[in-house]
Amino acid sequence: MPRTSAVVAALLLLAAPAFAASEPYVPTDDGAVLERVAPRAAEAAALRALNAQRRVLARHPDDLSQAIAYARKAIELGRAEADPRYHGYAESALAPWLALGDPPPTVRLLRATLRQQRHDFTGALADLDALIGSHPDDLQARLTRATVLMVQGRPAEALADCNALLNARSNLLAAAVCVTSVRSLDGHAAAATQALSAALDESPASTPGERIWALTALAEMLTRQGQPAAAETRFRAALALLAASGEHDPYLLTAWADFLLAGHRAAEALAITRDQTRIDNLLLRHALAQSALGDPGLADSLAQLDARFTEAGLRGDSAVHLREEALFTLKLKRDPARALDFAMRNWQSQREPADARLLLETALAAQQAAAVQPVLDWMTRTGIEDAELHALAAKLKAGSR
Amino acid sequence: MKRLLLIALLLGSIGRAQAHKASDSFLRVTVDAERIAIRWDIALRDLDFAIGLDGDADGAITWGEVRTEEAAIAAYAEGRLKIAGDTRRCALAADPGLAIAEHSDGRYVVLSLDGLCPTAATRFSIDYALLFDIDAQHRGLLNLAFGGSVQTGVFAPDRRQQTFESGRPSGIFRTYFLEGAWHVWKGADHMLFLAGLFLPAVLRRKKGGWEPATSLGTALRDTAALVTAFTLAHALTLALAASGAFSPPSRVVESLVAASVLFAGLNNLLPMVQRRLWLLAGFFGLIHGAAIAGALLELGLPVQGRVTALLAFNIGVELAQLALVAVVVPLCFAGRHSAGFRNAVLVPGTLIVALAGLAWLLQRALGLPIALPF
Repeated sequence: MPRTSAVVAALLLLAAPAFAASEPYVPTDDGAVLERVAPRAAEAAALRALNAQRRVLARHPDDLSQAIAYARKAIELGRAEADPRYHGYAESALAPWLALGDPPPTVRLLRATLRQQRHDFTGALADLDALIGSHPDDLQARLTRATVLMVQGRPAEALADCNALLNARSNLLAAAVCVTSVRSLDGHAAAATQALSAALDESPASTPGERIWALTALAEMLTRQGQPAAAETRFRAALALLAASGEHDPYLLTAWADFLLAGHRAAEALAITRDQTRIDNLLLRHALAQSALGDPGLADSLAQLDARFTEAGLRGDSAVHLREEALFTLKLKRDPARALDFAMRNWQSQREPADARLLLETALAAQQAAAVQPVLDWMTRTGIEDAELHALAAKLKAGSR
Repeated sequence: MKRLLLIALLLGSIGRAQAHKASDSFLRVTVDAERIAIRWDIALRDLDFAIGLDGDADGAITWGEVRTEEAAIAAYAEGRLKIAGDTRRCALAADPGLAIAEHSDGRYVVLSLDGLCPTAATRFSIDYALLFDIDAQHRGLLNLAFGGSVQTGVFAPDRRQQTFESGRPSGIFRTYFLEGAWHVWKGADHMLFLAGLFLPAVLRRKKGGWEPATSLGTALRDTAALVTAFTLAHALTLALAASGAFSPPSRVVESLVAASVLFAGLNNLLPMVQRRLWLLAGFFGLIHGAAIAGALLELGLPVQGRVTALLAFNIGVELAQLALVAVVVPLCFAGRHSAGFRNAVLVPGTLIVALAGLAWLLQRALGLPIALPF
C-alpha cells in the first residue's frame, strides 16, 4: 500500500499543472552568487534604507505619519524599478487606514495611486473624485485624475484637471505635460508639441526626473505625428539625462525600445534591453528584438515570458497584463485569434494610443475587421492624429470592403 | 513646488504598472494518508527583505549566506503555515538542508517540510500568512495533491485560510458520514426525543400502570414501523432543506423540535396518542430533518459530489439514531417487568425528557434565558 500511494503521488505530481521552476539543486560553492538584492547599486541602497524604515515602523504600526512616509518611499521605488513588490510594501504599511471608508486625505491619495497601479481605475477615480470634491486645489489629486482619465482614453475630461494645474502656476512643466498630453490626443498635436518644447526651454530649473518625463512624452507625441528623427533627438536627450542622473526609468526604456523596434532597429533594441530582463515589459521587447534578429536566445526568453504570464494568471492578475499578453500572443506566439481576445479585453480598461494600435494590428492579423469598430469610433470622437493608427484603420477598411 | 513632488511618480507609474512579476511563493503539498510532504519555494529577494540574507550587505546573496540563515528561514516559514486535517492540527517540521530552484523571475529557496496529521483526513484546511504583514501584494500559490486529484488555490491577505475536500468520492462519503453521526450524538434534543419516542414500543402507560409489550417480536415490529416513518420523513426534509429547496426559519424549527421533545415525554406519562404512533413519528421526523439540515448547511456541501455528501450525511444521521434505538429498546424490553427499573429509570427519565423539552421550548420560542446542564 505505501508503495502504491508513493507511485500515485509521483504520478500526481507529473499530472499537476506544474509551476515553471527548475528541479531543486544544492549549490556546491558557498561563494556562488544566487541573487542580487537589486540589479543596481542605487536600488540596493534605497532598499536597505526602506527596510530600516520598515523595522522602525513595525514597532509603531499605528503611527500614521511614519506609515505615510514609508509608503511614499516604497511607491517611489516601485515606480523607479517597475516592481509591484514595493507597492505591496506600501499597501501593507497603510493597511489599517486603507480599509477605512473615509481615510485621511493623504492616505486616500496613496490609495488612489495603489488602485491605479493594480489597474482598478474605477476605484482610483472614486477616491480622486472624493478628494477633489472636498479639496479642489489638491494639485496632486488633479494630476493623478488627469492621468487616469487619459489612460482610459477620456482626454476631454482630463483637460479640466490639467487647466487647474496650469492656473495654480506652481509647476509649469508638469502642467505643460498634462495639457499637451491631452491636446496631442484631441486633434491639436502640432500645437501641443510646440508648446511642450517651449515649456521645456522655459523651465531650466526643473528636476532631471521631470525633464526626462517631459522629453519622453514629447518624443512619443512626435512619433505619433510621423517625425521619427525629431522624436529620436528627444529620446536621446532623455536617455542622456537619465545616464547623468543615475536614475532608472523603465518607462523611458520601454518607449525607446518600441521606437527602435518600429524603426526596424532590432539590434539596438536588443542591446538596450539585455540587462533589463527582470522587468516583464523589457523582457518582452528583448524577445521581440531576438525574434526579429533570429537570435538563438529567443526560446529561453519565450519560456520565461510564458512562465511569467502563467504565474500572473495563477495569481489572478491577468487583467493587469492584458496589453503585454496581447502583444506577446500576436507577435511571438503568432496566434492572432487569441491575441484579439486579449486586445479587446484590454481595450475595455486601457485606451491609450498604444492600446488602439495593438487592437487594430491584432484585428488585421486575425482578419476580424468588425472587432475594431469601438476603436474607430474612439478615433473619430477624440480626433487623434497618429499616422500609424490611421494607416492601420485604412487597411482594415480596405480589407473589409 | 514641494506639493508636486510626486508628480512624475504618479504620471509615470501608469504605463509601467506591474511591469515586474509580483511576489509569489509556490507551495506544493502532497498528502499520503496521515503524512504530508511539502515543497515550498520562496523567493530569495523576499526572504532577504523579511529576515535579511545578505549578511555582508554587498547586494549579492551567496549560497553561503543562505546556508548560514537556514534556521531563521525555516523558523520564519514554519511559523506562517498551519495545516489541519479534519479540523485537527497537523504537526509540521522543516527537513534539514535547503535547496535552490530557478524560477522565471530569479532564484528561490526550496524548503522541504514534513507533516504528520492525527488521522488520514479528508478535509484539509490550510492557513497561510507568509509575507502578508510586509507585502500586501504577495500571493501564495498552492498545488495540493490529495485524494486522487490535484487542486490549486491562491492565498492572499483577505484569503489566508482555505479548506480543501478530498476529490475522491470515498473521502467525501467518510467525511460527511462522520459529520452526520457526530451531529446526532452531540444533539441532546434529538437524543432525548428519540428515547422518549421509542419507549412506548416496549412499555405503555395505561390507566395508572405500565403495560409491557407482549413479545419481543411485537416490540421490534412497532419499533421498526416508528423508525421507518421517522427516518423517511427525516430524510425528506433534510434533503429538501440542504438542497436549498426550502429554508424554514431556524427559530421556528428549533422551537418545534423542543415541542416534540416535550410531547414525547408527556405522551409517555399521560398518554395522548397511542394509536398510529408512526404517523406522529413521521410528523416529528419532518421537523427534526429540517433542524439537522441546518448543521449540514453550516458545514457546506462540496462542489463536486454533492449527492454523495448529502447521502453520506443522511446515512450518518440515521445510523447514529438507530444505534441509540438499538440500545434503548432492548434495555427497556429487558426491564419491562421490573418495578425497580420503571420507578428508578423510566419514570424519572421520562420526566427529565419532558422537562428538558419544556425548558427548550421556553428558551427557543420566547428567548427566556434558561440554563440547561446539556
